[in-house]
Amino acid sequence: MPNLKELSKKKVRFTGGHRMCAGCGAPMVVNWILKALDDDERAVISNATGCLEVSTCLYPYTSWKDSWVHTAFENAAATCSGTEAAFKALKKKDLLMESISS
Amino acid sequence: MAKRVSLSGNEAVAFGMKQINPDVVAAFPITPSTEVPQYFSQFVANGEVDTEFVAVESEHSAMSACIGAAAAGGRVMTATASAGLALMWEMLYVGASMRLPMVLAVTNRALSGPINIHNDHSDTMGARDSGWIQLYGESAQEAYDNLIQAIRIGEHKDVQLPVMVCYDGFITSHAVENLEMLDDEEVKKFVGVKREAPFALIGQDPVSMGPLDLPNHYFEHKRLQAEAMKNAKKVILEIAAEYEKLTGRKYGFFEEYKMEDAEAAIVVINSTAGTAKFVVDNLRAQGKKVGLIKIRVFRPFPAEELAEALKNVKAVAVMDKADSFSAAGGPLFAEVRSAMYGRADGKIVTNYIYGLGGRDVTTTQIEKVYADLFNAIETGKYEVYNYLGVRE
Ligand code: SF4
Repeated sequence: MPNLKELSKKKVRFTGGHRMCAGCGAPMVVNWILKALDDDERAVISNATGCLEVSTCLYPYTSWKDSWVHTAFENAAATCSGTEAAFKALKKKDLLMESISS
Repeated sequence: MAKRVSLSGNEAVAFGMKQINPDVVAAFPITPSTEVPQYFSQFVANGEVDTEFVAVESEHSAMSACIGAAAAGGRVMTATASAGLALMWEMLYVGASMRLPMVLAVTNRALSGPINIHNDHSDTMGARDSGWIQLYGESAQEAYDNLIQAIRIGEHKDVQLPVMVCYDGFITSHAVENLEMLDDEEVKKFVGVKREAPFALIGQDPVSMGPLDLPNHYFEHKRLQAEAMKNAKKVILEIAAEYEKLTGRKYGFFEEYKMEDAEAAIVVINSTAGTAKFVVDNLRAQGKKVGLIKIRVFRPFPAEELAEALKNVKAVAVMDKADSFSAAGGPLFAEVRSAMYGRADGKIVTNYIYGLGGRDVTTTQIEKVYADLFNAIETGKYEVYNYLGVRE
């Protein structure tokens, strides 16, 4: 497992300039969670309604460098299960682009 | 080559879905729609489709998963009825406003309460302003044909909206009828292999979907959504013309039955049109000038075209298989009468709420509606709001 020093060198996938309160712990948590990804990987992030959601993707701005989806309050996991299913199906049908086929 | 088959409405829809071979189906069973996901999950288990089937814990999750899959760029289908549709409610609006094409087969069933498993239109009529295109069909054939066309309508670049394909619970969903199905290859060619998705979570570039949209942008987005629904009118006719070339079966916004010289007409949705056509034929044989309009497309509502079709009648009865409890008539009535205002003025326009909770509608009752209309034409006296076949 990489140590903190190594993790801090990984790509930042969540940019500043969002509207979370100064000093809020959530953006830092997001940043560190996203370090679980390898730098060449792409993620789809499903976000429930809440501070993190309304403050980080306020039309026409977004803080998310990966694909990100918000639908409602109670169903971030259900939404993501559909996205995952679509990924599997498109892969099976060989309809994914090279760059995102893993 | 097309083949003749005998199938129930639900089977026709499930086989249609198999031919479409969507990327994702996320569904939860509910009577009388259950067979659709049941048959389809068998196709998945048997490897007859490439679809990923997501077995969810509720209809809310079913629609959420469909939205997640459509946002990813997949071609998505599901099915439900009644309370299942009601549980999807919140997500119906979200899916439409995200401009995600999806196809939802609804077997129309009365909405609780009291709980009732039989057919009326209270479920989809309640969802009429959710931003979904709504197609209705009288028979298994029409449910099948609408389903195939729905894929193309919703995915059209000028539309990008979800589509409900509605047919009557039990009456159409469970009765076995003869119909004509296209070949698998013909369907494949008609719908294409991959959905056009201008923006997708799994696409060329990362994208954020479902942002917070405050007063300086929200209104413009809703306006664009309204424009897409307007565009759908043209697209629905284009797709219908293409489908007619393939099948010989003609579809429009509504079907006009013996309307050329009709003095008294009824406007009706779904399977009751079959019963009503029988009555029209009988009354025509007696020399009575009667006709019928059966609505196929309720959203977008073909207001101008309907007014044009009704401009020569003297009296029209609008039949609602759902009450809106507005104390001013059912939903179809409100829209038809409003469509006629300023375009087909001076007509007698009445409303009949009928068949709630699956109450049978008989030929005698429909004869009575026409008799009421002729009586109204003669005497000028009539009730605007009526309930048909209820014990008062
Ligand atoms: S959770 Fe929300 S309210 Fe609390 S500090 Fe963070 S941004 Fe501010």
